[in-house]
Amino acid sequence: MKKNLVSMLILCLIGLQSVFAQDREVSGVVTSADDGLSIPGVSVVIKGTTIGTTTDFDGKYSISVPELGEILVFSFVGMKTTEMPINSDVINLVMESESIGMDEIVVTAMGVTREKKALGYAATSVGGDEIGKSQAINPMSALQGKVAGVDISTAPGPGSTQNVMIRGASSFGNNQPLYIVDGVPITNEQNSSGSALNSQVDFGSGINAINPDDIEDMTVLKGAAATALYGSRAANGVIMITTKSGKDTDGKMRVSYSGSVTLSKVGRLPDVQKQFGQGWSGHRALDENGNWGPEYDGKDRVWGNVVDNSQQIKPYVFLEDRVRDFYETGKNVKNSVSLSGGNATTNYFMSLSQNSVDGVIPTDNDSYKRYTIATKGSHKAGKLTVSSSVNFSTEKTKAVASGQGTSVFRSLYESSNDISIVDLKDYNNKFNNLDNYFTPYGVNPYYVLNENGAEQDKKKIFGKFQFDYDFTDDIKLSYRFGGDYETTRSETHTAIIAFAPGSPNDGSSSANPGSYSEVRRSRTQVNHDLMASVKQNLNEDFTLNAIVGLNVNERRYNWLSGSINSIDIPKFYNLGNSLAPSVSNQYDEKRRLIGLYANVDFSFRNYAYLTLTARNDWSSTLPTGSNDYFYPGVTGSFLITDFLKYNDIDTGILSFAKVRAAYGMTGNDADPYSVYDRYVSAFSSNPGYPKIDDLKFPIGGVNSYMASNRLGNPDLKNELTKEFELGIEAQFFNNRLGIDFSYYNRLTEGLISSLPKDPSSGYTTQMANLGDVRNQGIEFVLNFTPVKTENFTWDVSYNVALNRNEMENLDVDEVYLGGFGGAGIYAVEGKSMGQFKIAAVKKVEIDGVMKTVVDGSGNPQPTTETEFIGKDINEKYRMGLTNTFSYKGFTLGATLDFRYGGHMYSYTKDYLHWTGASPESVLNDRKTFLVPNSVVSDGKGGYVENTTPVDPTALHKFYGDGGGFDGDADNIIDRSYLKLRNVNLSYSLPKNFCEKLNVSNVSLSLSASNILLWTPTENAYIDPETTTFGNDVRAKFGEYGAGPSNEFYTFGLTFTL
Amino acid sequence: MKHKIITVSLACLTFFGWGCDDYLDINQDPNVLSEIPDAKVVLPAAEIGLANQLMGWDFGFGGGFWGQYWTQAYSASQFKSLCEYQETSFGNAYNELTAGVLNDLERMKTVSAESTNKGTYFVAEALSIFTWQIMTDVWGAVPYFEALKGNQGIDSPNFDEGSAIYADLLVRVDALIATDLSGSTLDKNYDFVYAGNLTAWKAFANSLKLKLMMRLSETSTYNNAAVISFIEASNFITSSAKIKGSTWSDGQEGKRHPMREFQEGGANNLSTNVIASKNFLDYLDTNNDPRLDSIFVKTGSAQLGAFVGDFDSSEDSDGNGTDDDSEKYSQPYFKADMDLMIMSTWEINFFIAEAYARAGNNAKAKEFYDLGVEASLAQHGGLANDIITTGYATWVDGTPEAGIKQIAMQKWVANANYQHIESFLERNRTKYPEVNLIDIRKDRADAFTNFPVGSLTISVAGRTKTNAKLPSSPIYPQAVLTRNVNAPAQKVDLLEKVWWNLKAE
Repeated sequence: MKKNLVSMLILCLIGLQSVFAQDREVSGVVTSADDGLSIPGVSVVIKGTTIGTTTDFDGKYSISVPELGEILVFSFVGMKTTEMPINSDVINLVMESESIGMDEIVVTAMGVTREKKALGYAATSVGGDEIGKSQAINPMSALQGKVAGVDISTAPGPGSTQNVMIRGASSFGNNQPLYIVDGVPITNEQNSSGSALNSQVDFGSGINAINPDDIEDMTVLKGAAATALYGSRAANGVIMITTKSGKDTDGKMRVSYSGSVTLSKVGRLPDVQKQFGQGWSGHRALDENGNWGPEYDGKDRVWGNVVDNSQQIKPYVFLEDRVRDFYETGKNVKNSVSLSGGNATTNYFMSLSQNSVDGVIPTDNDSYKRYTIATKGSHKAGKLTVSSSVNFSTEKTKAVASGQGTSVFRSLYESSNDISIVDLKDYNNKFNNLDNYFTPYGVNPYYVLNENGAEQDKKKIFGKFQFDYDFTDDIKLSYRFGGDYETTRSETHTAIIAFAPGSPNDGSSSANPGSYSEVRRSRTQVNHDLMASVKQNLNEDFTLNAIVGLNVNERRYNWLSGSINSIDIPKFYNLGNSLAPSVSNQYDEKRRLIGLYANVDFSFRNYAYLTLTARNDWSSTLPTGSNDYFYPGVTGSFLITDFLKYNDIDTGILSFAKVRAAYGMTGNDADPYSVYDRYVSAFSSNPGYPKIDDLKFPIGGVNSYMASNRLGNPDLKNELTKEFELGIEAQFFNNRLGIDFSYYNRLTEGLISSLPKDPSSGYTTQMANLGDVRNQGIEFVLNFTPVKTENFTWDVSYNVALNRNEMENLDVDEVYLGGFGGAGIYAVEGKSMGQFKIAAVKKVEIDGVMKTVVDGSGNPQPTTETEFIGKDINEKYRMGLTNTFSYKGFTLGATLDFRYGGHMYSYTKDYLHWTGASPESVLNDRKTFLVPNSVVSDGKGGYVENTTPVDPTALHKFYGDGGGFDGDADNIIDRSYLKLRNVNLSYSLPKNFCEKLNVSNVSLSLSASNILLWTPTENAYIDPETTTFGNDVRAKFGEYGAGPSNEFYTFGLTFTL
Repeated sequence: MKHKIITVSLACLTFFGWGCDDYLDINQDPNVLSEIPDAKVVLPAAEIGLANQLMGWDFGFGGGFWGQYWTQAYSASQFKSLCEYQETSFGNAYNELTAGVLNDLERMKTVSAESTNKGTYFVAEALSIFTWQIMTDVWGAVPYFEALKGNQGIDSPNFDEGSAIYADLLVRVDALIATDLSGSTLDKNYDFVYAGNLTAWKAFANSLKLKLMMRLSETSTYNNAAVISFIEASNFITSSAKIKGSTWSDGQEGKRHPMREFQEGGANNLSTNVIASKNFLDYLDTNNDPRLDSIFVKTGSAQLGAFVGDFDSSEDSDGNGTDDDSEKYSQPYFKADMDLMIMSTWEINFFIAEAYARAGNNAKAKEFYDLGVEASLAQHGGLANDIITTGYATWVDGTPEAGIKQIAMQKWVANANYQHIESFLERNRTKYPEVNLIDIRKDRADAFTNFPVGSLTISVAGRTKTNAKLPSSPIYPQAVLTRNVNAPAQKVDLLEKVWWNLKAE
């Protein structure tokens, strides 16, 4: 429901013009069919006259009807215009919303509102109701599976980042959309600590600061033509968020409350084999961390170390759900209150919200606490309207690090499946402490969990001030100042791991002197928009709407960090508590962008629309003198049904039909500081293995500088995206069936990345324009209402999106996009972005058949170099299906999200292979087998058939060293999945009951999210959405020991006073 | 109101229009320097960068395993591929020496070229010649004449033959030696190696020329008489060019001797992956060389070395009841304040001794040979010199070839833990220690009892790969081959010899 202030004011004006002689009074109440709430500001006009009024705050109206008046016409933005015969003195109306929203007003670029039907490109809006109903913490969660062509995935862990990509990857670096809140861009950078492999912590990104209950509407703009006005940063699409405003309530205050309690539990955990227990090489060994021991026999046996002449006893059996039992039920309590109100000239809105999340890992070391305050107000003084919005949030995130090393992940899986994890909880117990823990190869997970930590405190303030001056009804000037400032303080620490001399675990490589680091970051964004708009009716048929504007944007980022790599006094985390001086680092970055833009809309008889846009940007990150670029766009749409109606032709079953076409460009600048040569603080590089540092100055009291290995590029140019889009929208059977089809073809030229150079040239890299990528695809949305009776409605919404990504040109052999030393995803010419390259096993072609070359012990041999294995990250298609059933006050909805194709790297699989826990590792009951189709070197350059079986006592080598039959490539698994994203049952209390409670509405909801997950058999390990590789394309590489994903069960209550 | 808005808007427009270029000129990275005040501020980075690579991951371990000081430990696998003679490129060292050290030296030369004070330029050129020699000695033909010109648009420099590079390096070193340094100075605070002593640097230049000349001993251009007359006319280094051990802050990450970094930071590469090779350890042990205990540390009751590259075996070669993979082998020992060598006094003395030996001048040969061994003993903390007075290393007057061998064997010992890549290169030139082709895998017990002490053996795990030959040079790094359109084809294996490697095994 769109209760737009401006339209209300206009409607009020119309309502005052009553001139006819008046005979009788007709009155009534207008309520909404959606929520039963009264609708203020509905225009009530007597058909064929100019007599009219509007409903007041309580939805009531009263109108004097002249004798000739026969029909009342009720109209309101976003609702179906309804005609009612005047056959009584009381006419109450329940207004239906425009179910498919074709007369919907959408906010397009630069905060301009337009009728959706006039748009020449795809734009999908999701209303605040739907977002609020989801009770999500992060607003993007509510869109999952619901918007065609938008890929949203979430990392596990409270307060983590949402990875959002629209219509595929078109940049090597940033592919995240631009988030615009009330016309102002907000900062959405991810904060994290650690590296992809070690101690990875995700502290979330900027949009986490938005309270979903404050959102009135979210619109996704996908194509270049739609986003071009937003300039360089909109090349990857735009998510436009309009927040709620106060309404004209005649000064009354409206209070809304939304609260929920969510329980979460751990979702997918890896399947493990149930046959073999603790040991190595096929033998039982009490200090081993693997499942390479003998078969379970159920007999009572001693285990662990002998401590004080005693040892523990337990049956040698497989323990079901031992890892699942480690996790607990997470809780999220949410409260959100908003107050709003206003009169004809002034309105305000304010909200307060609180979230308190404790995730599924025991302790509150995975938790997220958020408080938000939002205020918004506007005042109209004659021709000038001033408005502002200010949002403040504070977030505290505590996270449990993932990855290798002594992480909780490793600790959970590097113990065999006959050892109960929950019984290790008392990590100071003499059998469970560091000294006597049963294996020297791992550390008690409870020690790691309780003693290590990562925490971030974040404060963010963003908002705008806006002045709109209406010279006339048709000529307006606006100035909008937007600001966003966020500051974070994060600290991470790992505890000392030390062993008493002579204790069983003395000498373990897990020993660690501990570490501590603190990072303070701040990000500032300042945005100015100055915009003039002119509206002109050229003649009866033509209307022109033109905007010219100037945009100035500045972004600053800096951080300061301090760290120590050893801890002196245990458990005291302070930069001074170290055996060696603390190390500090700093970074400062600033970039600016100036844009001049113009937009001209022509409309012809309200059935044909043409929009021309153009923007020129000047960027500080490109070489001076050639730092500007121009990008125009044109879109057109033709409303077939409106054309037919205009010409009085019956449209039959067709309620609405539109064709649209768009061609547009968007430019994108480079990252800062890629143009000039530099001298950097000196270091001598050592190989980047864990725990090996580069030799870094100052050394021995001497400091030094060296020429950077990155060559400046004075010829660096912007990236340029050119996109063509075609679409058809149609509604049939009185809007019961609707389709929306889009085809797009997007070519992005001059993708910027690091160009690797032959070090003989003196340089190893240079930022350069390296290649062109094309994304083309289709998006199809089907809305269908199979059943619609007075009390019962069944709505079906289905969407499918296909995207084909291809690197059309690439000046280098490959561009590394993400991964780690042993495996990566790359861009390669002629292929889609994100090709996996990893070590496989040696193969040789003999008589046209590929054979595996095994060594003398019958084991496949890893290839020394990594190689492309013909698998990539990209899915073939994505589908979403939402069914909604409404019966009286009840609504039941369910969304399925399906993705087919694409691959990911799973370290979880790799690690379970190593520890012998993977289901694959019991092939042939761990008895001897021959590698199929294998050959062995004959010592003379040829090959003979292999007859040596894999040694059953060396299976840990077969699976652990190489990864099985395909070596490391075995860890690249199918990413396909089908998820039941959400099942939601809500109930709105009947109106009369609400009145008794003295509230205007109450609704209750129950929802369950991510409760079912289906994956192909080769993925028995991990929720495929999981990543530890940050955000964006690189995140699609996969996971390196990530925490498990979660299921959520939410009970929600909302009411409005 | 109206005119105020218009005024403000116009003011904004004017401001942005007017100051647009200045407003956007903020792209100089504030986190780094765009200019350096003086070339000397780069010198510490060049010296440390060079030294760190010479005993770093690639050269330190590669030279350690191929020089058969060390072998891969039985229970770990980090350096298996080196011992298996798998193709390796030493890519990290290539990268750091070219885009790192050589490019920095080039930049120093450019910045200091106009200065009347030749001090900084002199040292930069000396270290550049030194590093280029290592580059071509290790990899053979590499880009040289067109190298380091990425900032002039040469992304794919042509490869040059080692002989052409040597010819030019000899011209450059002559020009360097001819430089008049009177009146020139070098800021001692920026010179780790000789603390600004330009006389010492002049001696370094002379020593460098000697090293260039001697490396060509097997080529047709070698003229021993010319070497002798150069020796007699020149001063050579009297203290090793090195980063002193006192420079390190061993308790801190990234401030250590490279081998300490690979161990102490928690990576434990030495203690988990590296054990003493029988070839080297037994040579010291059998001959009662006092350096044994400062090169290796016992993990059991006695110093013990293992067969080279035999990490897959679980036989009990010595028949003592403990399988080979469970024996307690000695491990390399690096002290916290270990010196990091660039050019040692022993290697120069050994070069001089060799030139005299080749001339048949045994007296002079002995004099410098003794100085070389003593320099090594001094480096190990001033050990007694019994080995050259009464012990196994006492100079024996013999044929030039016997002299060359005697010198080479002591160079092998002296270079342990200090100059592994130099040791590998000198073994390629002199072919000492000799290689013994015993097939250890065939009969380990026999190999143990009748071990050819004082020779190299073929790595057990690498024997098939190279057809019982020792590696001669690494292959080219991928970073070069894939990014340089003028790059030659990759080498087929590790057996390709550089141009001066001409002596028969």
